Amino acid sequence: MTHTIQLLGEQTIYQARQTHTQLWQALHEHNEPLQLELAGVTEVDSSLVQILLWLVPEAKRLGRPLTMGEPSAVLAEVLAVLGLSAILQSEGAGHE
Amino acid sequence: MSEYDSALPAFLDEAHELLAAMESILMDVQGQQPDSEQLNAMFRAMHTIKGSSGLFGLDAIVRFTHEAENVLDALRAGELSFDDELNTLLLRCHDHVKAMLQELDHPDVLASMAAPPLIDELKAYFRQQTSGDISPLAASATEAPAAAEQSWLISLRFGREVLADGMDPLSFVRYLAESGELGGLQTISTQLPGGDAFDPEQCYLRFELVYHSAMPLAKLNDVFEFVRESSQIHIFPLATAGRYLATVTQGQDEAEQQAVAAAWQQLGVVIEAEAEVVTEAAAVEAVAPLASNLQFAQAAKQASGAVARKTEHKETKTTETRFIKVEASKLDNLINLIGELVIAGAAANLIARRSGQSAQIESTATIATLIEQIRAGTLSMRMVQIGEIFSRFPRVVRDVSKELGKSIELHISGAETELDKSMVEKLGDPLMHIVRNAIDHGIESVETRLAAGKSATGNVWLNAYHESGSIVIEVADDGGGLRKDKIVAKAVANGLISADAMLSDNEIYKLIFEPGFSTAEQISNISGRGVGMDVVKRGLEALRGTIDIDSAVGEGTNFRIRLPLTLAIIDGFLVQIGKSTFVIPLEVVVECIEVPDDLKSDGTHSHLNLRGEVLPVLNLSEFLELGEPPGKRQNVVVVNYGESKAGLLVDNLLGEFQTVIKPLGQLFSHLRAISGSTILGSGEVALILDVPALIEFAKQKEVADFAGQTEQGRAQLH
Amino acid sequence: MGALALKTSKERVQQEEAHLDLSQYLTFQLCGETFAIGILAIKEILEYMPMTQVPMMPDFVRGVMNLRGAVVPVIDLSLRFGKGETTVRRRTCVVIIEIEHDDQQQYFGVLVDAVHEVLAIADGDIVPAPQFGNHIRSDFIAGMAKVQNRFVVLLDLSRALSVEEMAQLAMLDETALDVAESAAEEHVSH
Repeated sequence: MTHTIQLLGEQTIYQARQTHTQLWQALHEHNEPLQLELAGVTEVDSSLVQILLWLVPEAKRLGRPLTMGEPSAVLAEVLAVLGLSAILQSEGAGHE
Repeated sequence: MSEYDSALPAFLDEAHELLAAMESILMDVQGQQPDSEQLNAMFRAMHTIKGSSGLFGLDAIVRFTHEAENVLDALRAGELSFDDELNTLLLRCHDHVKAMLQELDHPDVLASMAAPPLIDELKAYFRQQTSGDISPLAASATEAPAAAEQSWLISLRFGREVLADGMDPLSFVRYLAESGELGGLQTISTQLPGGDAFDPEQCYLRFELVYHSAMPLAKLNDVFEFVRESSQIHIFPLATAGRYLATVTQGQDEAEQQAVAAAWQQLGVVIEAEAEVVTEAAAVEAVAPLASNLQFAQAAKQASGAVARKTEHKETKTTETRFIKVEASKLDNLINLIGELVIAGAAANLIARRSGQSAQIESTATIATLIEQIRAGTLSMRMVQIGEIFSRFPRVVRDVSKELGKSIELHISGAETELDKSMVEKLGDPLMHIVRNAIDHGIESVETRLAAGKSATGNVWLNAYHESGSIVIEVADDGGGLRKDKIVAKAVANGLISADAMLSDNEIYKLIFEPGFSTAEQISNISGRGVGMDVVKRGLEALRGTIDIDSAVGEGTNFRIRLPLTLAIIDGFLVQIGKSTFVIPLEVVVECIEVPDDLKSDGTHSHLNLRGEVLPVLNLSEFLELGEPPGKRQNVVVVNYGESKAGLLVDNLLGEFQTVIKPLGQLFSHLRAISGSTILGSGEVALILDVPALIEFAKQKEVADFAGQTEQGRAQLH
Repeated sequence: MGALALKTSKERVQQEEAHLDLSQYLTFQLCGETFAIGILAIKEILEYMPMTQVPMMPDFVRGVMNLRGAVVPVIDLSLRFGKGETTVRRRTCVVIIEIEHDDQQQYFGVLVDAVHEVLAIADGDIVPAPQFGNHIRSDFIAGMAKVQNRFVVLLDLSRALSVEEMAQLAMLDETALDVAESAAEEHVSH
């Protein structure tokens, strides 16, 4: 069993609070491994980057396996520019 | 997203103001070199619009204004010289930005406007100007070729509130990537807290990046203008950046210091061990003597220029804050409240007078005076200078005369004349129509003018002045004048008048405002945009305005528009008919006379002898079917309508009264003789008579009555 | 003036009874009958005061009055219903109604003989108006409410105070004139 969360559409400062809460709950209220799908993200700003930067060590700290799916082109480009593409291949990145 | 929506109108307002300023400068200079203040103002217009557009994610506008800004910057730096061609190019840039602002609701359209052919023209112009032989002066140490690329190390440590303030650190990186080349970027997130301390709406990011670009340092600095206060932004020439590591990490924790050092090494910056803390300003200063490189000297020069500009910017800011933008509805509410205050004050006055206590009477009188001052003050807040609309005409005249191959000079006077803001908005279109008409039909072609012994250049005058409580706007030209015979012929052909109609000059001229007068052969690209001059007439009537025309064949035409200063208040003359009180606009009242005993009356109409003239008299009580018996002593108010006079029969004259106009609402919208209402000091509502409409109505009714009689007569004959 | 403090009681009752499908209605006397209107449209109730007559308007427009700085038309519903003119007596009131027209709030004053009481009527106690046998135009009736074994007519004010219809009626005089006028013009041109 895996708990899957899909991030969709615009993921900017306007959604940051909600997305963060959703992920926080997923980390704290479920015991299954967490799978984060990022292919549906259409708009990104720094806030989503920060959330991902927070999520990876946080999952590790809580001992929760975390895998992240293929990012959408927009997100992939942003992470590449910021030199952060590696965070998607966090621990147990054995997807597909 | 509601913040976005609420901020957008302010952005549009500001953008339009800036564009208007830019346009008026471009119109003023007419191909002459603008002074530095004008250059700065134009640069600021493009720059500010670019910055704000970025905040709203309007990338297309950012891209375009960026190009325009580059040209203006080069111009400011003396790298380009100003000429007629550039003047036209910049006007077109202004137009394009304006057009883009119109398309905010259509992102697709907007995106397609980001790089119009105009950009290539700008760039071509830029190249052609700058690649020409560089004068010895330009080649000296003070000037560097504009296209020289240099490398910078940029350290961006964003403030916590940056995201919440609506700025995205990523957007800066994107912008830099578009306007130059990113030579590497390291993201540092050591400040990003783990666990529950993380707040997703705070910003914890820091970017260290290498940037190659031809952008001058001053401009590079400007990129970060909107985050400079909240964030720590450092820009160093890449070659010497290594010595400033301590500067950029000053006061930060060890993890961050190490991360920055590691990032710099990744970016290829050679860190100098004996680095000392230098302030940024000193850093730039230090660059100049150290570097034998021309570019650095230029950078330093521009950096100091940036400081100078900043102070300048501050100065203009203080002038700007002398104005406060207020929502019109707030002002209207205030005016309504003051209207009520006037009424309440009048009631208090009455009570005081009844009480007979002199101290009380005195204090209510003082209050009444103050209320009057407050009212006048509030109403004056709505007043703006008519120059606001006049200022768009130089451009129109220039463009249209070019298009028509005519040479026309526009003379503006009285631009400081004030009128109500809401009128200014509605006046723009009718006025534009008249001016275009004057250029198109009024001013003759150069050949015709020369043949008639006139100067080749035609003149159009725009003038405004106050006259007895109204504003008068004149649009005059020294063109061919109106041909009465032609107008009459056309009006007859179009069925507007019968062939044997006897009309005064003014009546003939006014035919051009009739719907259906403008015919296909007359429609040109300029004035005949599918609507005739009747639009002008309707527009002005909606503003309670009138228009008169003077014209002399071969000499020119003068359109004289007369408007009330405001739609919100009216100087009225109060009359009583039976129990009802009516307001007659003071501007139409000529005089008041007592009714002579021998007034002959046949129904609602009659006439009397006014110093030898026949004055038709309308019995208001009967005409308005008030059903009240006439008072013992009646009066006649003599009013003007157009060129004629008429008398209105009323019972009592109650005197002059300045008052706030209240609309009557849709239920009464068909009432032609009544234009609105007002609230009297007693709290009662009084109706305002629309005198020209009233008399027109009375005429029609009379014609109808007679027609009815004839019909009856005919019926009896058969 | 004699404005009743409707709002607070209105809000309180609304809260209490919202879940019972009860709505609040004001009953009043008009040309000898009892009518009711939904309380939400009512802004306030004023004692009758003299108003300004507007010439060239149909009889049922009694005039305009000053409602704290706004000029509000006052309608004689009795005349609008095709009955006699409302005579002003001691208990005559003006009920100020808010109506939405063209997305704008518009105020009307309605002249009534007397205001009775505020009633809570359950939606289930309201039946459609019979198709005939009504004393007023059936499209002015929103429904009939059974109150203590008799029926009270609930008025549909958006119809009875329809700005379009009233403005059209008001224009009739002038249209008649326009017809005569065009006849006259034709005559002149011959």
